[in-house]
Amino acid sequence: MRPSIVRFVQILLVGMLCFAIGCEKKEVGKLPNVPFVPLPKQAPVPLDPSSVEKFVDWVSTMPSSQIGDVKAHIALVNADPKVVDAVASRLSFRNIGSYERQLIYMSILGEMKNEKALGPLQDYLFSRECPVFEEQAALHSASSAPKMSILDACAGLKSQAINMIAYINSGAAKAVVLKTVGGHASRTVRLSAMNAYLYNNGDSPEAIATVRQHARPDEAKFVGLPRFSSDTNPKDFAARLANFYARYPEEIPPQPKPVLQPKPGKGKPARMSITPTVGPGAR
Amino acid sequence: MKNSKRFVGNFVIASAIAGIVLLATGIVVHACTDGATATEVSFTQAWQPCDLNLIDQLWQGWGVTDDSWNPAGISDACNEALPFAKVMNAIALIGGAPTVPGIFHQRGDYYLESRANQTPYHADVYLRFIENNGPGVEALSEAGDHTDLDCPIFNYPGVATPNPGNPNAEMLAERSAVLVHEMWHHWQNANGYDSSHMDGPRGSCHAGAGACDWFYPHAPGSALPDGTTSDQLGSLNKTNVVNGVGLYFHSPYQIMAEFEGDVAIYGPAFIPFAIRQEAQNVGNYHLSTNFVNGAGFTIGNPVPFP
Repeated sequence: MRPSIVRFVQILLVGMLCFAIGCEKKEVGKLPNVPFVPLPKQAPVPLDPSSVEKFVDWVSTMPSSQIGDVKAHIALVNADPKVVDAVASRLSFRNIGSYERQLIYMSILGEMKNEKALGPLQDYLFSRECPVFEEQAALHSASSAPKMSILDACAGLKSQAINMIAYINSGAAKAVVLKTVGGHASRTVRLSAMNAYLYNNGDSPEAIATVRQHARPDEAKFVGLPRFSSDTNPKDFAARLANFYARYPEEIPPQPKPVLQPKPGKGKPARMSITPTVGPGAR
Repeated sequence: MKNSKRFVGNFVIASAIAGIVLLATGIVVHACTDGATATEVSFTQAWQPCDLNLIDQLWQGWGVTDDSWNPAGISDACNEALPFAKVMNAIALIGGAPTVPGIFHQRGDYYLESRANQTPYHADVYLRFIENNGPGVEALSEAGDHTDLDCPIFNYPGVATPNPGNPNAEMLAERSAVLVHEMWHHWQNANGYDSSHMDGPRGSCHAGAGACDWFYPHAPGSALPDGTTSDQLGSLNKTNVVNGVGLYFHSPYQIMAEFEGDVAIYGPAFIPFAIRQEAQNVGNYHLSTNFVNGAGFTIGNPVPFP
């Protein structure tokens, strides 16, 4: 075979190989525009003891514009103890379904404002099945304390539990919240309890004084922090934020100091992955 | 001799088959605890995760180009049960962050900052998929070079007995915030700041080793010394360190909490309610957990359906 033909075949093979594994250089330009469309509204699902999972399927996938529908359906059954039992039976740290589903089960119980939900929520709040970081750390020596750069989901879920207990806002519920303010192992949960108590008692001076009485001495300063929400007055928020740091200057962070020359890095290596393709189930 | 030739021939064929099998095994998808929650899937109705042209742009722009992604779903790029598509979904959520005035930072800033390709925020870096970087780790950055994303931010939770402290929390808002957080380490490096975290617990930080930062307070839409406001496009990349009190600066945990706050409160209509609720919950978790000094605000109202 003539050398030129061999050369041609070699180039052809390399080209085919590149085509197969994706050697082409992609242009990297401006930020990609992700075209979004509004989520479709879904048919509401009535809530009853047999439809809890379908109801939560709906809530976990719907747009926020349907929150009113959700509340209306919960209001229809908020006195039904069987619904409370059916929803509360899904509270679990062993079979959570998903983090979002656990949040939603608790939201339903809170929205019902049914005293019967207090027991299950309280059990969840103080459950030993899912120890929070502080409880895990207490089991270890300082040198072998867990890394825990991951989210402490136990604390996150338990903070939702105390928020919903506070939302029930009965006398018994308030007692649980105040006990939690100073007594829960998790700082996240304690601060949630402070905030939720104040919110459900009108952020009144009396409520602030009550929570401060129950707070740990080193955490009393965190009673009454401003909330970033759509109904917050931006100027009021900014003033309260500034006031917190003016009142507690020890909470002001130190000046960041440039300490390093930027590490040069190795730069992005030549792409080694294969080219993305979609599977047979692609829509 | 004839038998010997046949043996050699058989050996070559067997070796070739073995090689192909090994190669195929290498790209068979076996990642973390695979699966997708209803909420994860619902967000894909708001964009086109199977649009390969768009996926190509996200794949290149966010540096999901290491061969570690080959067995993590890159050949099934819009299957949200697998890590590769979950990263795409997380990038899309950042690309769908709010754009209204009065938020902490604009979508365009989060989007540009979170990108792996060279940006005004940092040099060229890339993302790696890592099944396990050690217990308790969900992501890790070698600032200036690459970021590892670990199974805890991908694992599907539908299996019994999750690990305490991490019930296999397959959560979209948190995953997006982790991208924003990790890329800020590259910003720190590019701007000559120490890119490491402090060890906890210490002060108000109730987290473990390598999970504490300082919180540099600023209000949403706060005025900056150059006459702009923090919610204007480009303001995330400013470091107006004016004095010891009016400090405008960001740490990695701070930027992720601000992102979660913006998504929770002003998330556009195409973001499912459950993602906004998750963002509020985990944003408040970070505010109360990961700062040595106190973070001086909370996100949202503590109501059942915010």
